[in-house]
Amino acid sequence: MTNLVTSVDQFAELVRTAIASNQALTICGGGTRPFPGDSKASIELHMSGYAGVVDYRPEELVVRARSGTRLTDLKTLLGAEGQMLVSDPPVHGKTSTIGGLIATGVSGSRRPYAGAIRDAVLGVSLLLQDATQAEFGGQVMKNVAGYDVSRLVCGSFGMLGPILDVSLKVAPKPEMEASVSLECSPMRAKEIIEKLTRRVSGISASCYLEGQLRLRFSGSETAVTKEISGQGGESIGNGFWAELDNQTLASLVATKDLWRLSTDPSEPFSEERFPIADWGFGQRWLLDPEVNPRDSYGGVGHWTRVRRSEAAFSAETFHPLSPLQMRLMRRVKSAFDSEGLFNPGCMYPGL
Amino acid sequence: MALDKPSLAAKLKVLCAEVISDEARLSVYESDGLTAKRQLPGIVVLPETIDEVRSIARLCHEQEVPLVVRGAGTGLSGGAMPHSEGVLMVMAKFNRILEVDQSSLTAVVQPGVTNLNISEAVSDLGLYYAPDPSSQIACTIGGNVAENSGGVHCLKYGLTVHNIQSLKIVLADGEILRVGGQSFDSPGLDFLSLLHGSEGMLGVVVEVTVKLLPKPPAVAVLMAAFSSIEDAANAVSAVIAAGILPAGLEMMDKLAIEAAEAFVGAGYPTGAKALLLCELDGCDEELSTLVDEVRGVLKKHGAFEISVATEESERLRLWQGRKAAFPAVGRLAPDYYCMDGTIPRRELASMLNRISEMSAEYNLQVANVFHAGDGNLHPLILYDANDDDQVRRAEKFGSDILLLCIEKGGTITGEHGVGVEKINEMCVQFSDKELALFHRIKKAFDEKGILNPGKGIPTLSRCAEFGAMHVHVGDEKFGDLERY
Repeated sequence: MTNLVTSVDQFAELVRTAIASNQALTICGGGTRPFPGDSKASIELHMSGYAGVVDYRPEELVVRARSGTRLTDLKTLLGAEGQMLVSDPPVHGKTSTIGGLIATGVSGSRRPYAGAIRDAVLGVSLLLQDATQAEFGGQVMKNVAGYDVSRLVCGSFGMLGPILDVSLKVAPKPEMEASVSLECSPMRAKEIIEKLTRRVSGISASCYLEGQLRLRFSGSETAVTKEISGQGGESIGNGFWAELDNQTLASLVATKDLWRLSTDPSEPFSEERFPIADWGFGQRWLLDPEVNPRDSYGGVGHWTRVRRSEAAFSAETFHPLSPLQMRLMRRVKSAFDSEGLFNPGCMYPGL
Repeated sequence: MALDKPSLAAKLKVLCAEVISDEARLSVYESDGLTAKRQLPGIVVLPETIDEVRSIARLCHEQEVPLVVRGAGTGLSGGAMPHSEGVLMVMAKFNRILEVDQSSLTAVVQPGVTNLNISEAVSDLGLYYAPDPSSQIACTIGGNVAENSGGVHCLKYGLTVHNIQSLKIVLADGEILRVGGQSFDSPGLDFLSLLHGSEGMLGVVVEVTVKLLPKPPAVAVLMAAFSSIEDAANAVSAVIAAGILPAGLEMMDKLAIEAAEAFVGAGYPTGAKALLLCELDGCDEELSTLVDEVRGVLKKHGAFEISVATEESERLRLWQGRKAAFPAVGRLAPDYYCMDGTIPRRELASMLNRISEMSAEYNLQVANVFHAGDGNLHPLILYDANDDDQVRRAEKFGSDILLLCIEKGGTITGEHGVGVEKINEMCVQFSDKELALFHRIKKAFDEKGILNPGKGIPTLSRCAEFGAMHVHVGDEKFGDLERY
């Protein structure tokens, strides 16, 4: 059963229907990043009809938007005021929504240098299991009243309830951005990045692929120009970073089974294993592995199966947690959703 | 339930070398920075190791004894106010910096290390820890995590939650939970965020990995004097609207300027109705352009005097007045009550005007010294604690300010926390359903409710009572009774 919802009352009605008919609710944004859940019978809750910017005042550096608002629309709106979303969040398709972004909590190439999308979350409205609306956080920069539910919801994959709207801190766009590509070994690339993060350099993105280190610098025109000329190498377009973040690079588009390793940037790196590493080597991409890398990879970090192919081996999407972490997750899930209504099993089976 | 002190103290002595149960020594811990709320703790323990913390937690959990954790006790909302029938765990002995990693730019520290100590320890490496609450010389990093502390520099560099990489937590039942890690994110729910600002109600912080930043090569401080609060408030919004993110943007009103000037002689123009201090940082190439840009904005919004300090000694002199503002204002009256609400920046002028009207209505002076760039207000209400009527008026005035913050679309606390101080106003900011969810989250971590009971989140019955009191302003019965 599919339902495009445009009002909170309709959401509430669907929640009541789900409870009455012992069904779960599968919460969907723009449908560009499907994550399979438990196979419980469910009502699909499509948030994309619940769209629109509720409040945007550039001088406050805050935007509040309904969860169905398209990311492309939001980026255009902010761009017109010389502002942008924090962390360069990926846009996986033109239907991608802000609610989907917050639910998945995914950040883009600016992450190591300017913070994660979670860092920008100031407040959320949630639909609770009793079909009422609740507000946490708000639209101000500093707020320590009550537990930080709004950041907890970021990256919760809908398991705590549907996000109705979200308030985000936005950032002024830098005066200038420029990118270069340098041919070097991974070892040398790590040294270069480390030197750049060790001082105020304006580095805002880094990626190692095909024997080349790509770097982006952001800031004032004078500062960026100086950094770029100091690096040598070849100038490249800034468009590369969106292709990387949105996974539209040719090698990524061709990948059927895409795995992401989030790790300590200083962890030993092998080019043969990881064709792409960004976030200063803190995020590494594995394309179409033949076996489950969680079994074959001995290093530190946690794996996410970002895209799965039917033919490949079976494996969970997210990295296994300790029994204590699972116990706490279960209890927190139940604090929000004692009936197991919202996206059951989307993050971990049985949750 | 009354505490069997001798029996519990004997059990604690087996687990931990330093256990305090005599009244004279207990009195040292009877309040935190909110001295208006005092309570002798049942027993005080000062553990030295994580294992000791675990066994103390296990014992309290088993016997269902309240466990309150305290850092340096500099908090301003009574979050570390002891429980008469409980154990107060003081983290002072966890005072070591365990590791500094220059390649990942992180430091692993124990929770009792002071905020300033971290920056000092890495200063020779050209690094620092960004959040800088005004109490940074004394407050501990564990307390900073518990309150999600801010400071002057969080406008650009974020709050505590943005600057912590990972935590080691002892849960109510003594289990150890690690949250965060050496990578940029972690699988599962974001407990790292949830634990920040949880005021010691979800777990005990026993180890903290902080992120370090390279010191900016160039820094400038602009001081701008205005002849009206409105002009200064509008200038604050205009700076942000121009796409500039200052490292700090602070405002002081007339009373605060005069008090600070009389106290430390920072060279503030005493004829001004409002003063802005704007710190800019960056690389050498961009700083002078930035300074010119901000100077232009401030001038356009009516600044009648602007001075710029780039030399360190000059910058420190300008900041000195701001940093000494609280004690300076403290000299104007026997006591002051420091509030901490946040509002959208655009409401600054109308809010400050309303506070000034209320000051006349309550017949109590108020000075304003605050983080204007974040919209985070710190009205200091001047009163005399020996005058019961002034105490009552000061508390009511403070509460009215917080309620006005909610009305303006803001919050009752930006960085000081709820503690015991703002527990009534929580009933206004949140609905019963939202509060009930908070209680369920608390229970998910601490089923028996032993960690810092009565703080942070009001019970629904307390809210019902507060609602009733709110209606009958002025004829409150048993006003001196504690109500949680």
